[in-house]
Amino acid sequence: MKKLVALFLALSMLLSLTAMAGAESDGRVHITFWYAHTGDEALVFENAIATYNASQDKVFVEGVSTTDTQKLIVAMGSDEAPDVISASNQQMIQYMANGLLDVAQDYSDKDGFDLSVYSEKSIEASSVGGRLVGLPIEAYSIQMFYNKDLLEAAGYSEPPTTVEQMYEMAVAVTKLDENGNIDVLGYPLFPYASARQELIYAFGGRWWDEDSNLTPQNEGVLASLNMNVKYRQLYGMEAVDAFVSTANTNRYTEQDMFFAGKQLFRLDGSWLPTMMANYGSTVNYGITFIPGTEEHPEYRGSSRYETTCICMPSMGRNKEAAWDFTKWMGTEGARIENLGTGNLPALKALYEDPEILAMPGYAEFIEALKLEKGVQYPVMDDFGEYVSMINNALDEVYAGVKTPEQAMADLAEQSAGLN
Amino acid sequence: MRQPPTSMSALEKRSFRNGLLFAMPWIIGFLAFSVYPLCASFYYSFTKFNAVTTPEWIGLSNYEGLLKDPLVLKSLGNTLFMALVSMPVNLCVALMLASIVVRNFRGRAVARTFFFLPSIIPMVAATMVWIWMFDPTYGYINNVLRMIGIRGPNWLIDARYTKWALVLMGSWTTGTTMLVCMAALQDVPVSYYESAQIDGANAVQRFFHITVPCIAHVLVYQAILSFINSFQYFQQVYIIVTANSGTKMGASLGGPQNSIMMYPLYIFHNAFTYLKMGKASAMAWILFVIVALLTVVLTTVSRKVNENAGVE
Repeated sequence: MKKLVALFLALSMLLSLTAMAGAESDGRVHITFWYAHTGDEALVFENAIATYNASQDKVFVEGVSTTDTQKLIVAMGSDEAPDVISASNQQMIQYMANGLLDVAQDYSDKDGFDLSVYSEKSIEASSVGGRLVGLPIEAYSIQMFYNKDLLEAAGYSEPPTTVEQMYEMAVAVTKLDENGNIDVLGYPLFPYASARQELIYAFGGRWWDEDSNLTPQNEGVLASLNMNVKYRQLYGMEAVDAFVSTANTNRYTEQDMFFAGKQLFRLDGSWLPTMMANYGSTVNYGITFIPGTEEHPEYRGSSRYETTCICMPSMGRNKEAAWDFTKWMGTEGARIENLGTGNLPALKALYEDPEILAMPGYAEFIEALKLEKGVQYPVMDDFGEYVSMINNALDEVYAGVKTPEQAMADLAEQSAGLN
Repeated sequence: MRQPPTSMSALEKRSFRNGLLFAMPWIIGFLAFSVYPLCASFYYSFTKFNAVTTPEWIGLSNYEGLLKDPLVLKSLGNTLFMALVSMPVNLCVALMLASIVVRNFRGRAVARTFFFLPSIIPMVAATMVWIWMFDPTYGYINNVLRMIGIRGPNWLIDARYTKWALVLMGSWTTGTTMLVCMAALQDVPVSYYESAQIDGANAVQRFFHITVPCIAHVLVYQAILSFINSFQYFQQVYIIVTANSGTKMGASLGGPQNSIMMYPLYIFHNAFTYLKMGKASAMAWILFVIVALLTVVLTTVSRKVNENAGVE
C-alpha cells in the first residue's frame, strides 16, 4: 500500500513538472495581461490577445478578465503582479500617486514610439505630471440624446443649444400622472453621474481647475445646482427622486426610461445607440452636443473625457515583453477593441475610419471629440475622498437639506485639507 | 492532593508530540491567517501604507486622523443604529414566527420551511431582489402601501428611510434565530401553562409570565450574537451602494447623504478604494476594541440572566 501511495505521489510530481515546463517550452516570454472588461467585451479583448499572439513568436500573452480592484491591488502587493493591466484614467492617477505604475513615456522615448498618433485630450487624460503613464486605447465622452417625438409634440423642431432653452423644453414636456408621479422626465437628472458632471460643465462649472485646485463654489456649479433645484421644486423633490430612483434600477435594461420613451433628454455615452438597438427600442432619438449657456455658448459640447489605458505595473517582471504588447495593444489592438466594444477611439487615425464611423451614433460623438472640450480629472492623492464629499453635498442639495450655496460652502471647508 | 508532574515521561512526551503534530495544520493556519494578520494590521495602523509599497512609520497620525474625520463618527452611528434597532426587531420577528410554528397545526412543516427559506438564499441575490421591491414606482412594497392609500417613501434614495429599509430587509432573514427560539419554546414545561390556565391566566399573561422568563437566557444569547454581528454589517449595503452608484461620480459610496455608510464599509473603502491601508487598519483596531468591550459587558449580562434562570 505504501509503495502504491509513493508511486502515485512521484507520478503526480512528475506530471506537474512536465506541465510547468510546457508553459515555457515554446521559447516565448510569457506575460499576463489583466483587463477590466467582462462578458462580451472580454471576448473582444481575448480576440485582440489571440491576434497579438499569432502575430509574432517572441511573446505569449495570457489574458485575465477581472473587475475586482481588490484582487489587482493584492496581486500587485504580492509576487503575482500582472505584467500589463488596463485601467481607467481615474485609477491610473491613483495607482501612479501610490507608485504602482511605470511611466510608459520612458519606454516610448527609448523605443522612438510616436505618441502623436493619439488625440491631445487622450494624451492629457493618460498623463500624470506631464508624462504619459499608459497608452490610451479607448475614450469616453458624454453628449446629449433627445427624444424627437416628445420634443416635436411640445412644438419644438430643434434640440436646445443653451441650458435656458433646455429648461424651457424640459418643463414643456414633463408629464405627471393622476397621482402626481412623474410619467415623463424633461430635465436630464438621470443618470446620476451625468447630472453631477455634464450638467455642471454645461454651465461652465468645474469641481476643480486645471491646476487641480478644488473649486466647489465656482459660479457655474451654483448656477447649475440652482436650476436643478428649481426644476425639482416645480414637480416636488420626492416625485423627481422617485422617478430617478426607478430609472436607476432599470438603467440599461429593456425598461430603461429613455428606451421606453419616458425621458426627454439623456446625457449619456456612445454605447447607448447600440444598447437601444439590442433591446429593440423604437424611440425616435437624435444626438446633439451638450448645450452651453446663453451668455457662454462656447461651453457647448463640454463633457468629461475619460480613457482606458494600457499600463505596466512597476512590479511586473518582463518589462521588454510587456512594453512590446502595450505598444501593440495601444495601436493595432485598440482598433480591434474599439470596433468590438463600441467605445470611442483615442487614436486620431480612427476618427476617419469608415468602419468606426459606420457604428450608430459614432459620427456625432467623434464630432464632439474633435471639439477637444473634454474635462480631465484632477491629479490629487485624495481624489476618491473629494468625489465622496461632492456626492454627499449634492445629496444634501437634492434632498433640500441645504441650499446650493450652503452645501458648496460646507464642501469647500471640508475639502480644504485634502491633498 | 496529587502534585502535577515536574517532567514528562517518555510516553507522555511522545503523546504530546503526536498531539502537537495532529494539531499542527490548525496551529499553522491560525498563526498564518489570524495571528499574523492581526499583528501586521496593528503595525500598519501606525504607518502610511497602500498595500503594495513599503509602509512608512507615521506614529499615531492615523488614529488622530480618525478623530477629525466626520465620516468615522457617522459610520459608527449608522452601525450602532443597526445594532440597536435591527437586533430587537429581528428578535421579535423570530420569536413571533417561532411561536407560530411551534404549535401543532396542519401544514406546520411547510410553514417552518417557508419561514426558514430566506435564511439560505444567497445575500447578493436576496439584496438585488430587495432593491427591486423597494423601487418607489414599481416596487411591491410601495404598491401594497398604495392599495391602502399610503404614498410609500423613496426607500433607497431618501436618507430618512434608507436605514429602515435595511431593518426591513434584515427581518426577512431571521430563520436561524427562529429555529433557536423554537427549540427553546419546546423546552418550556407544558405543566406551567396548564397551571396558569387553571389559575385563569390569559394567552398574553402566559406569554409574558411563563414563556419569556423561561426562554430569556436564549433570547439574551441571541441578542448578544446579533448585536456583535451588527458591527460586521457590510454585504447588503455594499451591494446596494454599488448597484446605485454605477461610477465613482455616480452616487455616494455610503448611500444618500452617507446614511448607510456602515463602519465596515468605510474600512473597506479606505483600504481598497482610497488605498489607505494604514487608516483602515487603525479603524479596524478601534472596531476590535469596541466589540471586545461590548462582548465583555454583554457576556456579563448574559451570565446574570442565566444565573437568574438557573441555567449553567
